[in-house]
Amino acid sequence: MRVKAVVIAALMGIVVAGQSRAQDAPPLKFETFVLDNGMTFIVHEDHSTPIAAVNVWYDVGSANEEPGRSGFAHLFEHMLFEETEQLSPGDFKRHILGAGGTYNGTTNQDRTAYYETLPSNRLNLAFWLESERMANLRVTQDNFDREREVVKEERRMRVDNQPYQNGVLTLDTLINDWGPYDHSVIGSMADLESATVGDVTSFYARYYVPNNATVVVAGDVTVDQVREMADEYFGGMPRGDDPEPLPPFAEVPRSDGERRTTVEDKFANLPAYLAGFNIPPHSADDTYALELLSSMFSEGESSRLFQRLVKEEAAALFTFAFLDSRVGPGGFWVAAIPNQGVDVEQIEALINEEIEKLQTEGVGERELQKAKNQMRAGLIDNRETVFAKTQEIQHYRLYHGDVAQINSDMERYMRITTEDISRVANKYLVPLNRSVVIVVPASSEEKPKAATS
Amino acid sequence: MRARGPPTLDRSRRPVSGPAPKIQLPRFERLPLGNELTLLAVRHDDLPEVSVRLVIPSGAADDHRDRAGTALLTARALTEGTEERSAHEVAQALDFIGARLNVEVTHDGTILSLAFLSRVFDEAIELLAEIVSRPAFEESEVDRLKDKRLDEIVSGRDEPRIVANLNLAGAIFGDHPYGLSAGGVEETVKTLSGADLREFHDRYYRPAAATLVLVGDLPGSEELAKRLESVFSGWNGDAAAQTTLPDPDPIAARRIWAVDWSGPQSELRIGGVGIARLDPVYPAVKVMNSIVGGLFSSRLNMNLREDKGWTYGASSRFEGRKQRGPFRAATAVDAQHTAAAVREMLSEIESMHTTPPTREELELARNALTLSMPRLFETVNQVAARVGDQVIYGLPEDYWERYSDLVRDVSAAEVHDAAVRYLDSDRLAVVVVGPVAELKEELAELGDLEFRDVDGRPASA
Repeated sequence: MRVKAVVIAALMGIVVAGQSRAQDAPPLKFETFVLDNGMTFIVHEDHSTPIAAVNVWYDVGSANEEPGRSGFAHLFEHMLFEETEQLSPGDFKRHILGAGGTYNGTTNQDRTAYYETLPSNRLNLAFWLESERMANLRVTQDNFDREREVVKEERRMRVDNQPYQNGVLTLDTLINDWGPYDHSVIGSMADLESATVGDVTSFYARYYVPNNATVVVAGDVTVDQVREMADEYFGGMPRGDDPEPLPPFAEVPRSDGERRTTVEDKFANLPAYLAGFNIPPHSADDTYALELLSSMFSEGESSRLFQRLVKEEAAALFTFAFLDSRVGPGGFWVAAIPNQGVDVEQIEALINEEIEKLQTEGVGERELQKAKNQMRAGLIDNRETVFAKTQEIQHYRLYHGDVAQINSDMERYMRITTEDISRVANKYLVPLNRSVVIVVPASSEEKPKAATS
Repeated sequence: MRARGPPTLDRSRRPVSGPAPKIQLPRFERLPLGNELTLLAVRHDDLPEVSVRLVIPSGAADDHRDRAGTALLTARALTEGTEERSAHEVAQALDFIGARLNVEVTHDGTILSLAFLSRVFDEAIELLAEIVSRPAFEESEVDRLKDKRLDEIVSGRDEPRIVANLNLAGAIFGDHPYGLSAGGVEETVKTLSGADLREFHDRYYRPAAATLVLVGDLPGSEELAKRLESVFSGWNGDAAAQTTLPDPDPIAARRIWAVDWSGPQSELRIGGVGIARLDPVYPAVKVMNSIVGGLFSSRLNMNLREDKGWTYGASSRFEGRKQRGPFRAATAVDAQHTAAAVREMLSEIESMHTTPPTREELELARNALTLSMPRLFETVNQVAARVGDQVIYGLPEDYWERYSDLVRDVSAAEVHDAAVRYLDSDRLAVVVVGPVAELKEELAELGDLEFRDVDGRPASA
């Protein structure tokens, strides 16, 4: 980190007014190399702060799960923080935290990520730990059973003891009920219960091979340093069989009619309207227009949904739209919680009206420019930390199939026109391509708590 | 399980650390403008962005007790229209330049954060000055903000995590203002009007009391001062006296607040009156907390998650405020283990008295706190947040330069002293949001049992 004092002292005589200033983020430089065993490394040098982020993605996620094993990729992720030949339970966290680092792992439909940020003089620690768990995982019935309980508690905490979350999971599976994304990442309790130690061993052998892993390092390191450590810690690992690709996804938009269901929620006091439209894979051209559309629709207080539903009509307590884009087809989500005394049907009608306006009247030039400006600001947000930069690099590798697009992608957003916005609104935001979940509060006897006085 | 690395790599050898890197901490200089607004600027130009914190040292502690929520609604109302622009126009202007405004109100102060690309510096700063110095507080917008706050309070009752936090504050602090949410409660928020907000604004949003922290890719020094002077010159007024809250009383005897909730998990909290932010014992308390619950490798998490598998995580923290703030330990456990988990939490807290930290625990805690410092100053927002804290709490300007040494010097004896003083198990409050009716006897054995509702009011068993 370069931090220079600004001396705002009147005695300073140097005037720098009117000097042209940096306008956009500088291009993000990176270097890629591949070991003989197929393991890919991408390095971005950033010497501004004496830290380094290491981010390992295995290209396996919930989409790769076997039938009856929903939630397994995530449960497996938990196992990688437990034991290896050299690491006893608790050692992993003690090593990282004791070095002043931070770490975590996340699983989604398409990939499983493991990452740590450390002072840059401890890069070797991260490589040692990552190589240890890639090569020498130790799974026992005991550590598997315990970690399964932890994952069940994670599901209870995030979903089963929360308002609206069962509705969200229901919509997620309803949108994607036609392919490898047809189940949730967190999985069902029954499937978690059925998983075995044998499943862990075979999943490990199948997907956790060097040729299915990519390591991105960003920070106060050099490419040579990373290359040397990559050889030392990962070079001797044998290549595995390449995992089988997923079956092809169906085409979007869907034309098989609206899917609609109602979910009773014993925690929610107010109903909710949740809708999702199928959208193409993240790398598709239409994604750019859909992202900008989503921004105009719901980003910030000047957005259409906020102005209409929350301000003008005072009909909604809360409303949002976002793009859940994936390697395969994803979803465009729109949701709202009505204010007390407002029907969910009324909310649905208002949202549909706003969608129709997009389709028939389109958006204005200045409105589109606003969305593009927000996109530019967001680009900087995504590059503030070395960890965020490793995520960006991995994102372009997996979701765009080309890391170099990291430096040209903004231009694709800037080329989108108001006609593109109308076109995608008419193509995707249509009833035949829609899934809807209405969340209804459970009757008062089923409420989890005594009524308030 | 699989063939390992090459024979040359001895995997049992843990890699050794190279020399620890040096970090440069932000240095700033202060200079009051003509209207006495204090400016602190830190140049950090890796990216073309700027992070601004406008710090008003008045917050929920300055609310009238029967008007709790005034500070929060005042801050939220700033963007809902000014003398020149409607709420919609303010939103349009902010969104058009891609600026992100965030408002945070705690008991100790109000912080407006604005982040933007340096190319829109002038527009962003002018907007900030306008909303801070010339808000309209139009009645219709105030009503909408009141409704929104009331809806937040109502929907918070659906979330066991929020119910537990709210009850814990009441159980620890009782009638002290720290016992109430900084955003006010239903009865007080209902009574608020535009006049209350205007009065709060007139009194406390004064340049002489405020500090503007600017971090990032800034214009040249003299140019910066000149532009800010012209933008903020219309904002006037002397500093008003701030409210000094009394120091909260420690809990007299261990109390258990039980809230009936039939979900698959129970939310558990244990807390007490902790320390003030400026207390010199702060570093020792941080180290002590890192051993009991501040880290993922701490005693609470190792027991409840890693050993028992009852929870996704258990943690604790001390929040230093202007007066003694809360100590809070928190977890959510499988409902069938509710009572057992409370006992385990209490026993880990008590273990800090009976089982002194091992050398490894002490070293890990001190290292985790000191070696992680570079990560705390990586982004402009982080730097602005740290400097903002220094402003609100009056931490010395060289605070972060001395922090590492202070933590390094904490001894095992100081950790023990801190535990004895601040983790006195007789002066703790326990909150259980779970199947409490069926656990009545078990919970009553742990302290003075009271049943409460989701808002923290007395309830029947």
